Amino acid sequence: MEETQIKQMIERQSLHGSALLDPRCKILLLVCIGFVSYFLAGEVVSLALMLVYGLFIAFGNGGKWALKMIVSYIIVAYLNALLRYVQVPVLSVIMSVFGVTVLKLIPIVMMGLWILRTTYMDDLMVSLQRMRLPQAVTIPLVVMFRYIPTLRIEYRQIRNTMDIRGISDTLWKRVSHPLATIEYILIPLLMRCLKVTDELAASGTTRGLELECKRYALRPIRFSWPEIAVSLLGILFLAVLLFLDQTKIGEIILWRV
Amino acid sequence: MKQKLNAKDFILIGVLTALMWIICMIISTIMSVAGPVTNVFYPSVVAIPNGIVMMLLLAKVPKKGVFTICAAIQAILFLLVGAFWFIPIGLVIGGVICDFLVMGRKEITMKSMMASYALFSAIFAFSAICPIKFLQSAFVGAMEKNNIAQEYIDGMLNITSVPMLVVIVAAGLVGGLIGGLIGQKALKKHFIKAGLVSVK
Repeated sequence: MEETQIKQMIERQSLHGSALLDPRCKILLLVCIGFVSYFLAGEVVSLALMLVYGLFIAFGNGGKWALKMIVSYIIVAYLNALLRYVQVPVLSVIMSVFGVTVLKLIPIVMMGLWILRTTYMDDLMVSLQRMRLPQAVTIPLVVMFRYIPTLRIEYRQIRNTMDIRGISDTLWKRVSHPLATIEYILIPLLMRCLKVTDELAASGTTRGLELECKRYALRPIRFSWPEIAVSLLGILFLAVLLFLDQTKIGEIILWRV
Repeated sequence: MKQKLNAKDFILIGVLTALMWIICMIISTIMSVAGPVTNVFYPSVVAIPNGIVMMLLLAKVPKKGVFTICAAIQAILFLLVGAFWFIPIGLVIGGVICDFLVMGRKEITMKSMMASYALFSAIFAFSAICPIKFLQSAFVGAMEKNNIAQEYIDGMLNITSVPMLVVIVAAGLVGGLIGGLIGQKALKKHFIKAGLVSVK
């Protein structure tokens, strides 16, 4: 194949809009959201946070995902409001704590999973290296982001195998023998981890993962004007939300049944 | 001991830290929802299954800096999910301390692995729970604003009195010891027998 042809193939990307921002910019926004989300108490303000970032995500290949998360946010908020009218001695306390925790986590999960889906690991690697982070931090981080989705598949396969052989297959057995459960699930998982590590190391070394020299990227990775504008706007928006939370707007009750 | 860490070690650290962090997230979510008493003891419970993973990591990569990198990666992840800033700082400091404890001597032995892991989990318990005591008013304010039930807040305040803090940190230490013990048993039973790792 011609070189131009190859270049065309690589440049024909499926991502567009805000998904093409620098990974550093996305991560900065995620950290800020995580910091703010737990301190926002007003219901209107929290919903505004959810809606605005949902819109932001919808501009970059995440429309469906954002819609899903916003709908589930509203459902959880309504259920939480409903809980005030039900009084069960111990359970209602537990459920209220659980509801609040889920409500605070949904924006973070929405943003985090979107970043995982729309960021190429090569881009992340390059941008982390441009931050002059040492290899000791960049390689484990990148490997981890790649490996967390795989862990779920591995876990499911182990469960399947256990079901076939009839090992600790009921809930009661799992609860009454916690150590055995840990051993039966964790040890095969660790074995798989060791194997995956060997494979990843071989594939990474052949692609020059170990090289210390400066990396070049096909896609431009630069913290330039769009990134600066987006991060400034995002941080400003969060600051305004924190401020509004202190005023009357924070006290409006939105979820009434 | 003078060897440098190479890319393969970094990859192993990344994979196993991902596993440890997932375990930590699952257990801490379940336990903090279940009630104030179980909430404050989650670091010591997390330390038990994580002990197996950590022992394998230390046995497989007996080099300088493993603890620090592992703790730093976990700290970054905690920062990303919006944990309180005290936890990441505590984790990194604990990692550095444990690294020097293990690497002060020439070779990693089973005992030094276990001691450093217990210390690490005690530091984790301290950094996860103690901010609740130091910044009590801010925490209560945040919890009241979020409509968390009053009983939960009262229980939380009762459980984080000063003598209880000592108990919590001690529980972290004990949890780390138990985790290390179980981890080394599992290491001997499964990994050393299979010839995957070797420890003195």
